[in-house]
This record gives sequence, C-alpha cells and structure tokens, in this order.
Amino acid sequence: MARIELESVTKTFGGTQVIHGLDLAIEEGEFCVFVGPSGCGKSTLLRMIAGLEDISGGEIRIDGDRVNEDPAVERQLAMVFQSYALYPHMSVEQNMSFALRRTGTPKAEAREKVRRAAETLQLTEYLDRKPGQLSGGQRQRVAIGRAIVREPRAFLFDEPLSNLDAELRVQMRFEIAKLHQQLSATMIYVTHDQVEAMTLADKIVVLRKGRIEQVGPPARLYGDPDNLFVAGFIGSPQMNFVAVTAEADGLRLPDGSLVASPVPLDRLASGRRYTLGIRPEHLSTEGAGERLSLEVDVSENLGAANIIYGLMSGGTRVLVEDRSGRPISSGERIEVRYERTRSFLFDAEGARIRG
Amino acid sequence: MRRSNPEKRFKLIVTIALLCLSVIFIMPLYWTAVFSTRTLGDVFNFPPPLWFGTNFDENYARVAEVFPPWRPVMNSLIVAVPKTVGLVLVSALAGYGFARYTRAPGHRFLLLMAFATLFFPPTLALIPFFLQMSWMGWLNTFWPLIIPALASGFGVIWMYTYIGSTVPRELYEAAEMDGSRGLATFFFVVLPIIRPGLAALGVWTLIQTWSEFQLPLVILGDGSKFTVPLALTSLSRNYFSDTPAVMVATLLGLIPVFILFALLSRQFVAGLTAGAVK
Amino acid sequence: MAPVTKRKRTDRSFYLSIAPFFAIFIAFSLFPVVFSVYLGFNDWDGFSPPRFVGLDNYAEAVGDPVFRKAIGNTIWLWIVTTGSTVALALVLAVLVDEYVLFGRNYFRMVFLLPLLVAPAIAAILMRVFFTSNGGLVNLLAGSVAGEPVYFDWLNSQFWVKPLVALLVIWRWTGWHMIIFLAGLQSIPRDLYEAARVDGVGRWSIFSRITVPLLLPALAFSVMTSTLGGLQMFDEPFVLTAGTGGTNNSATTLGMYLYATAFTNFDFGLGAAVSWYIFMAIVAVSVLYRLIQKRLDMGAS
Repeated sequence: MARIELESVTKTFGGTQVIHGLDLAIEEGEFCVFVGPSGCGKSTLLRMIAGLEDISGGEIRIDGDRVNEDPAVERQLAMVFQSYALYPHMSVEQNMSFALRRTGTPKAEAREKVRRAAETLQLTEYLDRKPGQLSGGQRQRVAIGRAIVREPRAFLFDEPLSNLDAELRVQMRFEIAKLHQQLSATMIYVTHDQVEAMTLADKIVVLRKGRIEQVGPPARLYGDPDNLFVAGFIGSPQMNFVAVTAEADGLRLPDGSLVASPVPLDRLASGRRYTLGIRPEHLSTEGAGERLSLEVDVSENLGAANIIYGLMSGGTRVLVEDRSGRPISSGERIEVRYERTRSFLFDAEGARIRG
Repeated sequence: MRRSNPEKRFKLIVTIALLCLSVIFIMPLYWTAVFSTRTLGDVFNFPPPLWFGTNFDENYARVAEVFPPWRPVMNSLIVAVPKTVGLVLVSALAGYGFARYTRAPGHRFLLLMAFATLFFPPTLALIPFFLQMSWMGWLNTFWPLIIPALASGFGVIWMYTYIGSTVPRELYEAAEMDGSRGLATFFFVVLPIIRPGLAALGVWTLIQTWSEFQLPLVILGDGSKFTVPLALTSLSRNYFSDTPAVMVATLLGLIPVFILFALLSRQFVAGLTAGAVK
Repeated sequence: MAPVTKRKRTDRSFYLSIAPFFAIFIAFSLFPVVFSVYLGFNDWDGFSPPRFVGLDNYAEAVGDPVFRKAIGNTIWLWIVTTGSTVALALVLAVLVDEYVLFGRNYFRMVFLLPLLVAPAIAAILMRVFFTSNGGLVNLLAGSVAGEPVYFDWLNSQFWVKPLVALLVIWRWTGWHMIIFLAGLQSIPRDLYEAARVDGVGRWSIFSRITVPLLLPALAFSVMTSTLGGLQMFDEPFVLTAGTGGTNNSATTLGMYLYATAFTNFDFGLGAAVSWYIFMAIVAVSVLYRLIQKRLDMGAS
C-alpha cells in the first residue's frame, strides 16, 4: 500500500489553469475523499494521479518516487469509474482478468485471483454473465472486483455511486467502507456528495475552483471549518448564514436585535459587517442561549424533527431543525435559541474568525 | 368513433396502393428469375409468362458455352471480399483514432480533411489514376480495384460517428488503467463492441463493390478477369437476342448480393441511417 | 532520455491509427488529382511526350457541341432524377411511417431491393424489357393497341433520357426512403398528436411539421443524389451500349470524359472535362450551403 504525495501540482487546459498548485499528502491505508461542487477540479486531480491526464506542473510521488511521466499502468493504481466502464462484450470473469492478461499474469494465477475477488464481492455465480445482464449494483461490484484483482498500490474512485438509485447508494457506500477495512488499502474517492464524504473518509479534501479549501477529518470539517465555503458545503441541511454588524456590545442582526459573538469582540472591528453561521440542528425552540425571532414560513414535521423554514424580519431565511416536539404552524412567530459557542463567525472574505 | 372509419378507409387505400407500387418495383427482378427458366419462345409471347418454367438447365448450358458462368462471380468475390475487409479495418482504425484522441494536435484539421474526401468526385481522379496504374503495371489486375479503395472517407467518417456514439470515453480510460495500449485497445475492446457497425459498413461496401462498373471497365481488359457487371454487359451485347440466357447469367450475378442482403438486411438498413445522422 | 508525457504517447497513437487511411488516400487519390491538374494543361495521348497547351483543352471542350449537349443532358438527368427520387421517397416514407395498416417491415425492405442490382445490370434488364422487337413493354403496348408494336425506345431521342431517369429512380428510391424513415423516427410523436388535437389537417401536418423537421435528411438526400447525378455514367453507358444514344441524346459528362480519354486517348481533354465536372459539383454544393443557411435563418 502506498503513500501518495502531491507537491505544487498544477493543470492547464489550453491556456486555462484549472488546478492551482496543490500540496497534499495521502497516507498509507488512508481513505481520502475529494469533495467539492462540479467544476472544482476534483476529477481532474484524480485523473492526474491515475495517469489519465498529464501533469502541467509540480510533482506527484507514489512512495517517494516521481510518477509524472509514468504511463497509467506502471503506477499500479486501479480506478473505479462512475459509469463502471465495464467491457460490454466480455463476461464478468474476463472483465476482471483483462488487466492481468494484458500484463502477462499466468492464466491459472489470474483465475485464482478472480475467484477470490469474486468471493469477496459475492459475484461467484455471475462470473459467466455479461455486464448487460447485471443490475447496477452488481455492475459496480464487478468494477470494484476488476480493481481488486490487480492488487493495486491504491484504489481510485471517480463518483462511483452517482449512477445508482438512493437505496443502493447507501448499501454500496457501506460495502466500500467494509472493503476499505478488509484491505486496509489507500483509497482516493471523488464525490460531490458531502454525505458520502462524511461517512467514508478518514480525510476530506474540500476543493473549489482548483484550490484546496480545507483538509481534515470529517469531524473537524464539520465542527471547525476554516471558511464560509467549507462551512456551507459540509453538513446537511446547510448552515444558516446571517449578515451581522459588529458593535460594542455584540452582533447586530438584520432585524435589529443583538446576539453575543462567538469570538471576543475585541477581535472584531466595530461597524464592520461579518457573517454569522449557525447550523440548523443547533437551533431549538427550547433551551437557553442566544435568541432569534422568526416568522414561520413553512414547517415540515418529519417525526423525529420539525424542519422549520423561518423568516427573520429583514428578509434573512433561517432553517431550524427542531427536536423539541412542539407543534409549529405556518405564520406563527417563534423564538429559537442556540449556544453562542456553537456559532461561527466569518469575515467579509469568508475566512473564519476563531476565538 | 365516427372519425375512425374514414381514417381507416384512407389507410387501407394507402396500403393497397403501396402494395401495387411494390409489385411494380420488384416485377423486373421477378421476371428476371422467371425468364431464366423459360424458352426463347415463351419470352417473346404475349401475355408474358408469370410463373417459372423448366428450361433453366438448357439456358444455363447455352451461357456456359460462351463463358464459365461462375467466373465473373468469383472475380467479383476476389475483388469485393478483400476490399471490404480491408476498408472496414482501415476505416475502423482511423475512426477510432479520430473518436478517441480528440485532443491531439491537428485532430480538427485532419478530420476535416477526411470529411472533405467525401466530396472528392471519383470522376476527377479516373484518368490520372488509370495512367498511374499503367505505370505501376497494375492494369488488367485486381489490385487497382482493391488497394486504393481501402481509403474511404465515407468509411472513416461513418466509423468515427459510430464509435463516438457507441464507445464511452471511460472505456478507453479503463483499458488504459488495465495496461492496454492504443492498438491493443482497438483490437480487444473497440472492435468487438462495434461489430454491428462493422457489419453495416461491410454490407454497404460489398454491395457498392458488386455494382462497380466504370473503374473495372477502365482497368480490366481481359474478359477472363471481368467482374459481374462487366461480364454481363459484354454478354448482353453479344448475345442480346437470347433473353433467357442473359437472364440466367444476370440471376447468377445477383444471387450473392441477395443472399448477403437476406442475411444482413437489418445491419444494412441500420448502416444506411448511420450515414445520414451526422 | 527526455521524459515521454502521456500527451506525446497518445498523439503518437493518434497518428498511427489514421496513417493507413491517409497514406493510401495520398498515394491513390490525392496524387492522381494533383496530376490531373497537370494533365489538363497538356496535350497528351499517353505515348508521345506531353505538350503544354495552356487552357486549350478547356477551350476545346467548350467549343465541342457534343460537350455542350452532354452538359444539357447531365443537368436534365440530375434535376429530374434528384427531384423525382426524393419526392417519391419522401411520400413513400411518410405513408409507410404514418398510414400503412400492415406490412411496415415489408415496405421498408422491398423498395431497397433494386439497390442491390448494379446500375449496369439494371440497364441490361431495361434493355431487355424495352427492346423494340418482342420486348415486354412493346408486347404490353401491343396488347392494348390490338396490333403488334415495334417502337424503338432505346434509339428514340425523346425517350432515352426518361428511361435513364427511370432506372435511377427505380434503384435509389428505397435508399432515400430509408433515410427519410430514420428522419421521421426522430420527430417526436406527441408533436403530431398535439397538431391533430388542435385540428390541423393531414396536408398541413405534412408541410408544416414533417417537412421542416426533415430538412437535414432532405439536404443529405439531395446532396448525395447530386453527387451521383452529376457524375452519372453506368446507366446511360450500358443502356445506349456505349453510344450515347441517337444523336448523343443521352451522353452525359461522365460518358464524354470516358470517350475522350479511353476511346480517343486525349487524356488532357479528359482531365479538363473532369475539372469542369468538379467545378459543377463545387458550385452546386456552395449553392446548397447558401440555401440551407437561408432556411436555417428563416427557421430561427
């Protein structure tokens, strides 16, 4: 299993730079997820590591060796594609052994490896079928099997679950997590779905416009985001953002009321505008702490929680995931509370201000 | 429900009219078959015979006196089969190159060149090509009908379109990750997937080649080398009045393409439409 | 050794894959075409040394009344065959697609069968059926007239061109029909249903919905037919037994070119004629482009 390092890696497509000097280290056996909105460069980055795209600048190292110029196959990485990319004219067995045959593995050995991988993935009874005769989930397992038999130094996943329906996606996510435990292999996983990122990753890399916004374990990204973008991207439902003005005795909300700041006020410039971030799940119609008063626009009762779409006078929308069990109706005026320490403050450039 | 009656009657009239038209369309072919089994006398009588006779063997014998009736068919096969296989392979390879390596320098320009060759009228090259063949000593051989025809702009554009729409990009990448190089990917991954397209282009090429007249006329001088249309033309010119004999020879020359069509008409039709949708 | 990037490797694969096509094309198509430019400016019979004559060949062709007649014949055949083939095929395609009660697959295939018959062979069949003495057509005519008919269709100055056109129509209608059927298939059904619900008549549906949406297929058809029509050779050559018919009434440009080069061995003149044909094709293609652009602009 391999350690993969990126050092000031850049990528230029016909004059447009799409990756801007990234530095990153992925440790041996780590499950690393690249996440970000579409067009952030996460797939390009993965493909550069795979050897499917040239590296315009900087260096990629696998176990300390520069691989910039190595053809994909020599990097000994395996990739699982979004569309599975199975060879439609080959049986499952042939699909899984194609790479071995291309690289000259003896037939008996290849058979044995395929057999073992098929067992792990419960594909044994499908070995003679063609991909067209399999369900989406089975195809995805074949794609993973094709990667496993090569015993690669690392696994690369390019949005592997986005072609599956919701139920299957959860199940396959679980299987991939289990596979990582079994193989304890280095895995790099690209997704735009922050739930996948949160559930699978040892380490999340949040990308935007070809730059890294933040790197860290899921809990840190959720609990201690570096900036507005990461705060908004990680967590579901999305964090509420309220424009505030710093004053001598607290933060002035758009509706004119005042709340306490999560950071010492002496770190803020009085009269400046900031953004206050509060997660919906940290707002409640009961308990103590800072207070927001809202007019209820719509309220959806999900049983365990009440999702309240509130409107602060001044027009700011605030989402509340209320678990108090209290019935709420539209048009009602309510007060919701949150702990000051659980809110976040960002400056005008979107950078987090820490206490 | 009152609407459905005139609608249905209209459709019935259309269907019957089309049936009649289709009979007119295939009548010449039917008569070819019928006449080939009739005597000379039957053919010149009115009304014309509508059903098969028993004179085929005799008519055949008269053709065989003039030339071996299967020889032109063999000659046509010797030209058409290697040309078809070669053309399909060369076209598929180039189509694969164009479909896969879209970012290579010169891709756009070269693709445009291949496209431009579609508008190259064969007539323009006929005379100089004849002279070129004569210098190369290829006159009166099958080579000029096979080798130059392998470069078909039509085939390349067809294959480019076909491969572009049937082979997803990720498949090339999966093959690349699996250690398959450009040519290996073509043979082991692309060719098996595009088999229907290969068949369609193949049938089209074969039928076209079977029909070819002007080029063989210019290139082939020796009657023993004549392909089907040439041999039939010369036969009909010299033994024109013997209609049943001409029809026998015609029938033999048509049989191979009709068998091919019967086997692969689906691919053929699919191929026709593939060319139309750019 | 300089590092070989992926880019360089794939570029090499690209050029390798298209090399066979371009090599053969350059050797056997591009070279002859370039050579024919040279030929057109020379007087050459293939044996004695060629003599540079400037534009004489081009002038000689224009001065030849047979050449001028061939231009007329070619244009006549091109317009008549393209017009009638495309029109008939379009009607057939719409009828088969919309209004046929049964046998759709039969109709799809049956009109294609003549395409399997080589033009030369089709012309032979036509000669057999239209021959003056005891030909099927004259027999039929005779039975209607009540007395034997010995009309010489093939040597009639009037009839020979229509016969050539009939041959082309017979062979190609099915092909165009298949193209149109494919085009029709790509028109969403609910468009028709919506029109019918709105009470639009059959003819209006055809002219306002079907034809406009079929324009790409129509353009492809017309272009293909034009390329063939302007170079027509096999059908008139075999039908007139290489003579061009009485008084050259069916001599096409293709036949004129063939005769100058391979009967009179005037290769220079033949090359000049081939360039005239080429220019005609280019001119018509440009014209189509312009019309198409007009139509596109009109549509949007």
